[in-house]
Amino acid sequence: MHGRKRLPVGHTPDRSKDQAKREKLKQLLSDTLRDHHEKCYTKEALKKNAQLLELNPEFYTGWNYRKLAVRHLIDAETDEAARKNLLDEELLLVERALQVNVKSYGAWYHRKWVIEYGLSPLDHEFMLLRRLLKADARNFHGWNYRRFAIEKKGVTAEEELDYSTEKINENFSNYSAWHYRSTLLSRVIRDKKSKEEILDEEYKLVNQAYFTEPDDQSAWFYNTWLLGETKADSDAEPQVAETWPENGSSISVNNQDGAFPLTISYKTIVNSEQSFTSRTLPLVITFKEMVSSVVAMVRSQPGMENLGEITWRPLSAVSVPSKTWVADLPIQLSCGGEYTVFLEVSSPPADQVTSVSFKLIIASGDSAHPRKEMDPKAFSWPGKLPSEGELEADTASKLVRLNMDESTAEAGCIKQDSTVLPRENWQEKLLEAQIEILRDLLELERNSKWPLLTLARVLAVHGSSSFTEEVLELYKLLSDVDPDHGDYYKAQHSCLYIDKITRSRDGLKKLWWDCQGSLSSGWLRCNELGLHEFKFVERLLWVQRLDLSHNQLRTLNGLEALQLLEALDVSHNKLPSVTSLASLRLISGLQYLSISHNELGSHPVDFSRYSFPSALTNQAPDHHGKGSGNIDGNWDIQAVFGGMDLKVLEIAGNTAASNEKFRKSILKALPSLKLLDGEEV
Amino acid sequence: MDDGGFKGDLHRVFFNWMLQELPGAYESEESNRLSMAYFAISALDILDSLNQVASEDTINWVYGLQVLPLTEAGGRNDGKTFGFRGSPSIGVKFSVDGAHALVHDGGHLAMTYSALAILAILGDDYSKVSREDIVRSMRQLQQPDGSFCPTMMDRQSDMRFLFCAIAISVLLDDWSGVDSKRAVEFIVRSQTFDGGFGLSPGLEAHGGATYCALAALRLITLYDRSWPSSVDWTSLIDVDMLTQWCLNRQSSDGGFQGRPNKPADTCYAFWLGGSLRMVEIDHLFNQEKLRSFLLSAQRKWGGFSKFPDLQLPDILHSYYGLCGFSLLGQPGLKPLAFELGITQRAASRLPGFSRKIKYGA
Repeated sequence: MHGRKRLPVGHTPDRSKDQAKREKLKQLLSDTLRDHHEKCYTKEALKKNAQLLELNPEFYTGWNYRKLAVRHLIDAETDEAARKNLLDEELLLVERALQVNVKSYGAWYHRKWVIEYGLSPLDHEFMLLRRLLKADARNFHGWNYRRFAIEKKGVTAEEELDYSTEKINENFSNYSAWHYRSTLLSRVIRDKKSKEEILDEEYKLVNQAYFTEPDDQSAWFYNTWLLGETKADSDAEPQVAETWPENGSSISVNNQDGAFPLTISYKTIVNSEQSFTSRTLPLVITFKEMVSSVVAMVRSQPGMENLGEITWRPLSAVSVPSKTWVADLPIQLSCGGEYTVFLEVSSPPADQVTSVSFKLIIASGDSAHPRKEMDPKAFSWPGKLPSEGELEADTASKLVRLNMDESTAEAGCIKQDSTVLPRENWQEKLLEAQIEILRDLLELERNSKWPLLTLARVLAVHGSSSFTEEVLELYKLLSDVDPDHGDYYKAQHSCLYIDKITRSRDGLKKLWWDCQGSLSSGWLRCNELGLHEFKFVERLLWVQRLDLSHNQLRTLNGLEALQLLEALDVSHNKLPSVTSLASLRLISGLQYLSISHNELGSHPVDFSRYSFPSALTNQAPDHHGKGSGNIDGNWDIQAVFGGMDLKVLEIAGNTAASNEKFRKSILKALPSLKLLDGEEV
Repeated sequence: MDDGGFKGDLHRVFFNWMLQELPGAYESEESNRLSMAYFAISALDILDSLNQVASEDTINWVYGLQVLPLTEAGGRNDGKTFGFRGSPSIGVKFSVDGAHALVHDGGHLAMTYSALAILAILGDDYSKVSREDIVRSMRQLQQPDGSFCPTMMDRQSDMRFLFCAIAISVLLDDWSGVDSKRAVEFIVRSQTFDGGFGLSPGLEAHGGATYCALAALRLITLYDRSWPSSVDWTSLIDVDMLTQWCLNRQSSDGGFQGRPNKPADTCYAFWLGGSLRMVEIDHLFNQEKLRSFLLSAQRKWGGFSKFPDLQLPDILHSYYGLCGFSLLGQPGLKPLAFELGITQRAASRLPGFSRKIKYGA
């Protein structure tokens, strides 16, 4: 492994001298090996071994032999002074070996072994360490050895903090000293009260450091760590993030035969009135963390039948644990009327219960919506159907942004911001003080990377929505200031942006398009947002049609929470493989999918296979059959698409799409498909 | 073919030369000879030039370094380590049938890893590998904190040998030699305040240690059948801080440094580029600049040096420089199975691998 090998390359030594040295080394080596083998532990043998280790401290067998020999001599010696003398010799040898190679693991380890006898004065060790860390302030072995030495001496973390302060004040760029401080501080912070005082002091130190060296990352990394410590401790108990139907919402169900797809009107954004036809109603719960089990009591008023038999299943690729859980609420066709459904959810062992209730209106008898055969072409976003001629000429003009009436808007589905954890006064104060100091620094150091990035982080942690625009601006500026990490800042920016818009009704309004004249009632269009990841899906559980085209997505993991989804456009992204679509298998109602213009078939390596739940991981069933150990060429198509009920699929613009075998496998896996790339199947 | 300045042919010559005869400067590496051979052979595999390697002779030589309980009937445990030793220079004379174990001349985890990697690359079926002896030794080498010592004699244990033990388990498709749960605890405890990983808990983060930690974590959670496959390994660590730490290891000259405020060094193209690949964010570093850094460390007679301003290449940095180009998708180079340190071609033929993972051709 690296770090152990040091290859002395780059000089051409005198050949004859070199030859002599090699001969000597060879002789010493064979002497030590012979002595090792014959268990010869004389002082003479140790002397030769010492010469060997001075020439080549990398020779670990030499150190191993030495320990056996020294132990033998010490065990035979009863006089403590004599034993100490023996060990002193060892310490001197280690010092000589370290002069040859200060990075010799074997030499450092030998020193620890000697000190463990407890006969050597530790003050000497501290003096040596001081010298070493003065000459080479980042020396990894030195810092490691210091940790060992303070433990031996019984120095407390509080006392040792002074040493780290001293090293930091010597040079604010000494990253090793900052790291060392972080390990000590974790031991010093014992309770809440000490935390408050200590963090206050730490911020003072780190502020002083970065005002002196604003371009050095050492203090900034430490500051980011402090920021994490300042944040409210997140609740260890798993909490419910969102549910569908939402608490307080109202759902209308039309009692009909047949499986007409759910239609939920755009009004969901406005007043959460939803109406659709189904025999079962999906219930979705998302938690903030993955949980292994769910206990959910469902009851209704007036009572409905079969509520006791509802089972919850995890929506994860492999099984538990999962963030998202789903169940089917059976709708009794013969029992029209208005019900209130109560849901009480918890995840053992946590005992925190979340209560949700919603209104369910079952209209029995005649239907408001006559049954229709769905036109497969009606699914896609009307602006980009491949066969434009077939569209009504004025469809485009019928695309209208949602125009919501503010006064009637009582959005049940848009929750108050639940991402900001409750904080105490001192935390608030520390964060605000940091914001002020960073702004001051930026007055002096305009367009300096680390203060900009740190301010963005502090503002994001503070979480006040009044800072959102500023954080977004900061990441934009960072892309210019530090173009080498531009893609990272863009990814951060897109993540914060989608956070912002999915958080509020006003934000969602900008992305909501109503399609009059089309069967689809509306699309949520998150296209061209530079998204590297699609987070916050739990806020969008009600979405049925989603446009994520023209982003930077490499995986669709997480989208499975969108159980009502029937149409999805992820064209023009960076999806590398069929397996990167795996989460879509869990959305049973999905009928329209565009994955055109991605990178399917362009990569020799499929990295998403790692997280794919079959053939690759331990517990999933075999997909390749016959136990041959070989998986045939397009196994992934069957594994991902098999069992899906897609009616329309667009794959054009992928390298794989021109492969006839690929297309055939798709058609085989999707017997229900009506349109492939606009052509009837 | 436009290779953009990458000198594939010269690298072929360089590694072939290194395989035939190591220059005198490597004498301190005598006891690590297997590792040196691993660098050269894996490099020739990446360069699609395994036909330059005398496979049969090499396989026989590697098996000759296997340490076996040849002379003892019972009592195999008394401080002896089985597996592979680094060279025949210390103690037992070389024999194609392998060597018996001495307390001071036994198997070493890093050498065992190198040996098994070479055998996998050359298509050997491990039929002569004494699997049981290796896993039995590994059980004794694992420490209560989850880390591993390299040998019974050498008690320094850290992330490097933990990675070796885990990689050996994958190569052998046998996990009975390790307690994965404790290994994962050790890895998680080694993540530092800045998101990187140290060689053991409390130590400063370092590019090589970070690679070892992530590779081991990935290998365990993906291939150990006793590990609950539903646990997403990235949820065990702080990926956000890790991302920031790794990305900022790319310095302004385009190369990667092992620690903050250190000069960029060729080999970290692999350790950090590989780490970023393993958390699937390698598209977020500046690939073009890394490429030009590596080109500046490429030497005119083949190979790479540690720093661009050094005159001579060395085998370790040459190997990891080449791995860097493989990461960047250099045409003509075979892609690597990053967490295992061999090409995907070689990995895909392993019995335990092909069952669970299918690498592209």
